[in-house]
Amino acid sequence: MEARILIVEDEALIALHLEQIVSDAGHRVVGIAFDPAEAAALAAKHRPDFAFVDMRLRHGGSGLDVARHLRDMYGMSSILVSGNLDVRSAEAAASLMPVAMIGKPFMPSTILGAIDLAVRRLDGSTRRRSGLFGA
Amino acid sequence: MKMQTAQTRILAVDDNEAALYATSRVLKKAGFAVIEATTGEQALEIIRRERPPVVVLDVNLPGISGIEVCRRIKQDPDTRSTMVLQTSATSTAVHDRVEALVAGADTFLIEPVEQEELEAVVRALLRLHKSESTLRATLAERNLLLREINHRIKNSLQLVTSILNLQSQEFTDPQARQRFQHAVSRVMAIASVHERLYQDEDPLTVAMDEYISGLCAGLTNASILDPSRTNISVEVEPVRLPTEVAVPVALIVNELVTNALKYAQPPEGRGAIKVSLVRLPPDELKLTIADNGKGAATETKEQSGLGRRLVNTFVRQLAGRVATHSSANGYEVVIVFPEQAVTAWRPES
Repeated sequence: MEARILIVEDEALIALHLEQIVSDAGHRVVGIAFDPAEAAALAAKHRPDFAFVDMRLRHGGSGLDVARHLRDMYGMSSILVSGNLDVRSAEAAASLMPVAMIGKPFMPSTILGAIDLAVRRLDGSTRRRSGLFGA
Repeated sequence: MKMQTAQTRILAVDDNEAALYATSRVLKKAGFAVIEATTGEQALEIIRRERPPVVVLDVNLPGISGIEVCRRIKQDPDTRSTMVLQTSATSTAVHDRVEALVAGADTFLIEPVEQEELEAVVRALLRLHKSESTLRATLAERNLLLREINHRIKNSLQLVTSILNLQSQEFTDPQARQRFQHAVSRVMAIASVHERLYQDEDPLTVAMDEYISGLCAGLTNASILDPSRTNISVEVEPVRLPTEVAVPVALIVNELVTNALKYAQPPEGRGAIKVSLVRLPPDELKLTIADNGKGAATETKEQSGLGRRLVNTFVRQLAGRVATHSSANGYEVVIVFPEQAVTAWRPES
């Protein structure tokens, strides 16, 4: 099954790398958002299946807020990525029940594992896809 | 001078109205804003709400005693920076004063207290309070800075590994691509040590059990071989190693497991790789990477390259020794190295 994935990451290189891993795994990236506003706009437009969200975005943007928005608005789950994955930030993120929390620097295999998990979660629930963008 | 001190609030606690009045008067005359309380419960509530820097606290109070009030102030992380000046007209014996100080009081004065002395002691406590809060603020700033630097390091290492991974897609020559992948894998092994740092309370050491499991899972998945054909088992004791030891160990594991994945496939059936790190009493660690492949014939040849030189040099860096065993059942590399005493990191120290 091909999943449609949103990447929310303010480092261009890391976003490209994630995109590469996602497409190598046979999925599609619907867009790359550099900040919360772009993330909200891209999510509204494409209704992706799930998102990779960096916990810390440019201009002080919060990835947790983005993940919360995606969950509340579209019931989307997120895979959180962070360079500061300590006990404190993990506790803050746990309430959002992310698919996975991944520390930087990550191994591609960790990302693949998380995608697998997210896709399986999608299969388990009724897939909600807009008729416009589906198929 | 007056303007400055006028804003400083002091809490005076005494159930004896006359004594409370006297204390308040002296402090007000000295230019402080005085908050008054007549019971311990009231005092604790005011301290939590108003956070006065100094409290003048009588020992004999109805309900909870002044000494217990002091103990609670000093036990609560939110209020423990409050300076406590314990006073009493009746509990003045040495053991009373000692009990108060043991409970956390910063000083003890026997009532009646001379006006000048009360003012001077309160000012001395204010100086202490100020330098303590400056220190606390500096420490908090330093911790924040450390977190920020750590975040930057991890992010930069992520950029490095991302560039390398993106670049590896550009190779068309399979052999060149594989060589490049080796370099990427080595860099990732180092980078992933940093991913493990700072995750818990100890920022200087790495929990090797979780780390090696993660590393091996990553190598298996990245391997060009069908992962279902190789079974990799990891058995690592819960041991923490300082970063400077963890990095060479990580690179050794990376080299030997990569090599095993490539050359250790038995002609038929599943390949099995075993990685273990166990304590060797009294003070050594034993790292074993074993497989059920064809034995040393092919592996030795491969390891004559950079991989072998890296392993040998890292073993020397660890002040360890290496032995290899080859049989029909497979190939095994054993590395023994001293476990340096790791001084536990205590954030409070």
